[in-house]
Amino acid sequence: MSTSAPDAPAHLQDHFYSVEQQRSAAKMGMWIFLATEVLFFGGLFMAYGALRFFYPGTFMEAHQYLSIPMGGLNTVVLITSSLTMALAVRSAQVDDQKNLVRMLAVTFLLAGVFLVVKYFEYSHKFHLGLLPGKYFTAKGVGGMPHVFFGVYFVMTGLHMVHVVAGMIVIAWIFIRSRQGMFGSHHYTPVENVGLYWHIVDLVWIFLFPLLYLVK
Amino acid sequence: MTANTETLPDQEHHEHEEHVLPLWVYFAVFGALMVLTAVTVGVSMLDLGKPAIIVAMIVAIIKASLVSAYFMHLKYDAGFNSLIFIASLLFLAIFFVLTLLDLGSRGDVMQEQDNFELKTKDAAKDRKALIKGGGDKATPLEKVTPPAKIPPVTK
Repeated sequence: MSTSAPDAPAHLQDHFYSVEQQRSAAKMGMWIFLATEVLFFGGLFMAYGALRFFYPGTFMEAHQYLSIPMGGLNTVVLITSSLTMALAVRSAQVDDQKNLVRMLAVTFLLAGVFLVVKYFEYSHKFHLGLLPGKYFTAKGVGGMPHVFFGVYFVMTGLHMVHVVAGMIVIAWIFIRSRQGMFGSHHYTPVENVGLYWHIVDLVWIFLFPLLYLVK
Repeated sequence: MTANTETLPDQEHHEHEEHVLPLWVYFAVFGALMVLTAVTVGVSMLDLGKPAIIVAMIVAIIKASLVSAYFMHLKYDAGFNSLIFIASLLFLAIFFVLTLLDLGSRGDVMQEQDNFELKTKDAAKDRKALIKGGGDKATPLEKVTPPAKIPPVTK
């Protein structure tokens, strides 16, 4: 604190010489993290590609057990939550405190809706025994469906973990927004949580057609 | 510390500190994403066969570009952030292409191996016949050990 200029804002840390530098450093760090997320999910997309290459018939048949309306609904929910998150960042930029808090609340609720839909999808699969590996008990599905459902559960499961993590950070940002901590002078945390939330949306944009739709 | 600030380069970059997009941009992008979602679902209902996955991936890439350019502000952000993101996608592409090339050519490698084993067996038979015939050209039969066979993965 002692080394900062007397007019420096409270959120400017000592080791940065300007708010702008602090902000761009934080954002760059976030983007590096997002790059690791891309590679993290990339391994699973490769597994999908390899297994689909080995068992094309199985994938064609087993994917029909996924519900397109449910997956489609979740796509719409996630894209809408991406919009509200982007609007939340914009509200912070233009100092609209009320709208910032409102948009974060809507984003959080939409993430909750996503999880509820996912819950119904998963419980349906559990009920039918459409499960990965040795837990697969359903009858009458040709090929090697337990492999497909392994891919399905790992990919959507890891994505769901990201949704839950997103809800936690959105809740944190929501609480701090209600305390009036963010505005046009300082909104980097809102922005970075937003970036994270958009990457969760991006992953789903690829998961939906690959798992639910592709024939 | 404060004495240094004037000479540091970042001070000039005030323009992309505050880039507020007009509201209609957000709603236009949202509308485009919804339409494209409907397009992917619609296309999957048609029986396109093999090209279906290519169409689906092109639509998904357009959607991802819209989200990253506008919702994630990459279009208006410091170019370095785009570089980081694109670099990760580039490495992913290398990973995908090399792995798929390996998987795709494994059958050929297996076939090559079988042919090789067949050939060496035939050659061994010929030499055996030669020894039986007792010609002076007869060479002692070397033991040919075929390389260990890789178990096929595709079955």
